[in-house]
Amino acid sequence: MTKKRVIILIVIIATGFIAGRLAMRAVGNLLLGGTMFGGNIL
Amino acid sequence: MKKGAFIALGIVTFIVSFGLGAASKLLKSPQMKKYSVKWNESLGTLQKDISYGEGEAQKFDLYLPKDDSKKSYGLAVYIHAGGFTSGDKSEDEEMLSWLCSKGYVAAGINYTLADEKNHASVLTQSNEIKAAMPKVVEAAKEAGYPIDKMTIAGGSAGHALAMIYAYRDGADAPVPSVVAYGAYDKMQPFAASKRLKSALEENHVDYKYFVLPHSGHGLQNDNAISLKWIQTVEQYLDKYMPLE
Repeated sequence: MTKKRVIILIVIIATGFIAGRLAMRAVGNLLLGGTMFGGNIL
Repeated sequence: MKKGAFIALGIVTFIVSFGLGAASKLLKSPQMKKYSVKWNESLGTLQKDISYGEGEAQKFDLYLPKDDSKKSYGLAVYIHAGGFTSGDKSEDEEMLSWLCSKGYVAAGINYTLADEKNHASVLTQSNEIKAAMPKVVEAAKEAGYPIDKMTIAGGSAGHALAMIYAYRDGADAPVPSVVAYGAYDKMQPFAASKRLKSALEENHVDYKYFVLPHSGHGLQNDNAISLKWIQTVEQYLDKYMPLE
């Protein structure tokens, strides 16, 4: 695998990991509160 | 590797990374794990569903520590959450097991959950907690664990019932208090906690007040402050209910 492709995969891993955490945070905020726009469904 | 295969690899890598990132958000830090103990018989004895009244919900669980040789014990009561309409004492088993593992007699108390038919209210629920307390103490004594001091805590609705017991029904005031609130909490409006803070201040209560600036009612986004908060709870337990 070329160096360029390795770098692309590393960027994908970092982006995916952060996006996963942000998605969970968004769901948590929606259910448990934590946004400026409401939330607190539970 | 062909371009198509690399693109497929990239997509799979993203999905796996996304899943790992999401899962990592749910993980407890090693320091927080200390405060969630799975119940097992090496901790002591667990007596479940002891009745304190005639109501179907009027039951409590009693966690009795292994060491039954002391002259007296501190009682730690935890009241479950659920917006006064749902929830169960079993949801707090790990917290209660932790308290028991420290050497306290611990109790989780159920109360009649409000629905459209039963007219249960915060007032009637708080009176149930008040009525339950002598029965909890009596059951502990009967099991060989005389109680000489107590603390009470809870989350959300349980916190409200715990505060009512502590400040309305408790024997002595002021009651040392450790509280935590989410700055974005709209369920139990954050502004109310500021009024509580002022009241604690004015009445010279030994208190600690934690604000979780990125969290709502679930206190879910400020792990470092959550850790400090639970550590402070433990410090207050050590200070006001020292284990001899």
